[in-house]
Amino acid sequence: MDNKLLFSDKLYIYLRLATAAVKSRMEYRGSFLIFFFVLILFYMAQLLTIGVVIQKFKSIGGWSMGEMAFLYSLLILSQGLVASLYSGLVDFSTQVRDGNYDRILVRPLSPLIHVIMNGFEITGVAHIILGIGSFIFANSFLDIHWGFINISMFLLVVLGGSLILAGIRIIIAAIAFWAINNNSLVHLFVYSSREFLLYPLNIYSGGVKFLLTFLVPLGFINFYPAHFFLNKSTGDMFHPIFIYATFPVGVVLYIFSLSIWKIGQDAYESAGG
Amino acid sequence: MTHFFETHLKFISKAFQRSIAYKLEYYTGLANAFLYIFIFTSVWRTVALESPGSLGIWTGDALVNYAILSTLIKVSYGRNEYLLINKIKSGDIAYDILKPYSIPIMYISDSLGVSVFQLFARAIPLLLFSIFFFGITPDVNMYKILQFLPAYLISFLLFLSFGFLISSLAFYFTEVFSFYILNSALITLLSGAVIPITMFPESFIGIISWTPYPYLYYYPTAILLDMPMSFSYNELLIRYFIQLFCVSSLAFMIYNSGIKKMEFAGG
Repeated sequence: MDNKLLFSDKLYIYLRLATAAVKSRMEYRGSFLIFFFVLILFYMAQLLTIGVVIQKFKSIGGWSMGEMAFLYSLLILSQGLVASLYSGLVDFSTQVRDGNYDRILVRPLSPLIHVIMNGFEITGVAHIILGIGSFIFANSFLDIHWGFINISMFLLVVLGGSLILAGIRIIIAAIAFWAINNNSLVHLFVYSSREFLLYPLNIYSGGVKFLLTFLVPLGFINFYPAHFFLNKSTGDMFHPIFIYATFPVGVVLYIFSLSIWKIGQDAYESAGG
Repeated sequence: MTHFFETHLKFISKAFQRSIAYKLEYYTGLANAFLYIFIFTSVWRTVALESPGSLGIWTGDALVNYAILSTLIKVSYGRNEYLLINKIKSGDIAYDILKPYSIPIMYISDSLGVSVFQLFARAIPLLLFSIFFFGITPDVNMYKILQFLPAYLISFLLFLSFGFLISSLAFYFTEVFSFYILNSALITLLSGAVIPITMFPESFIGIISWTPYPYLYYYPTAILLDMPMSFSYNELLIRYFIQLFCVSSLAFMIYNSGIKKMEFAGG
């Protein structure tokens, strides 16, 4: 059955699924607009709290207002791409518990892409708007020359950061194959762990820096690559090469996450009776 | 009367049991709270070392204690945000209205069950862990605890009133999640859960103290840490009652008018 569908057919179906998700999200336009607006307000509140601290103390861990805003823009831009594409994985455990995932398994499509496209989230655009805003704000304080190398590196960093965040979402979603309920894990690894990245990694103890570099490599989303653009001293990192490593780390983590998903899917026995 | 207590005790017990149903949820919830404590204590330790001159009324240790205690207070409050919303959306509230109990009190009982779990299974272990891990030595005596308890209790009721208010909006809006996010944004910024409100510029502090938000986490923590306030303890309690009265009255107004306008399509 699977072989009968051409790649173009599958692509068409995935796009239709994403379109349906957007239409369903926008069914109640008023609610959608309120949500979109409030999401921006939420992230602005987060930014403002950091702004209040910097206003009072001038810097955090040697990072000034502009540098902190730059850190934030790298995080929120990577987040924007992932929030659009991978939101379907956030409540994946509900599909496992309800047995809805079983329906997806019998369709001639990739179950993972099906879940992702079903949950396509247009509000990810809010992150991108905020990311662009904080990027412009950061640049008004900083002296970064945006030539070809820096622009290319910036795009690679955002893409690599997105792959890291997406990889983490896939791994956490795959845990639902065994644990059935992974809501707290989602909260911890998808949302709360991101809070670490609102501040530079050098303020944390060695163990946490190690954790955020080698085990849950969130540090590669903004802290390490920011050193490249800001010409900051690399003395506070494990190895100076890390400033270039965002994209490769993202690719490796993403491939690893797909294999975890595959193992989880093979072990899946359906939750229902 | 006995029946009233038995019924609501059952709601509390059910909510408590629901909270302990998933072990993984419990441990990750603990880790989640610890993560926030760790981040905030790291931030305060760093800025206290870098800019001791900007600390004002604070010391580095006081800020670390603040980060821990305010997070523990936050962790100890619990509620099932979707309890009422799901009932309104599904129409099940029509059956609940017919049952011999008050829905608002059922909501409070359920939240109390979750909060008892949060307090004993999360906040207290985290406090013990923080004493061991961060070496905090909060200078707390019986007098401060007696001052803290009324503020803590009213702030918990204020927290529940916010939840009930937003849940009751489900009578009018198909999606109330946005209101929860808006409330979270205001809590992040103004409640003292992340930064003590005294960090704000002087002109803002007066304005913020007239909103209900700092009464959730800032003032209870400030009482425990004996931080100077611009008004007396008695005035603080009066302000607490005013805030609770305003938010809970608004919540009940929305709920009561929602119940009156409720219509069901099905037969």
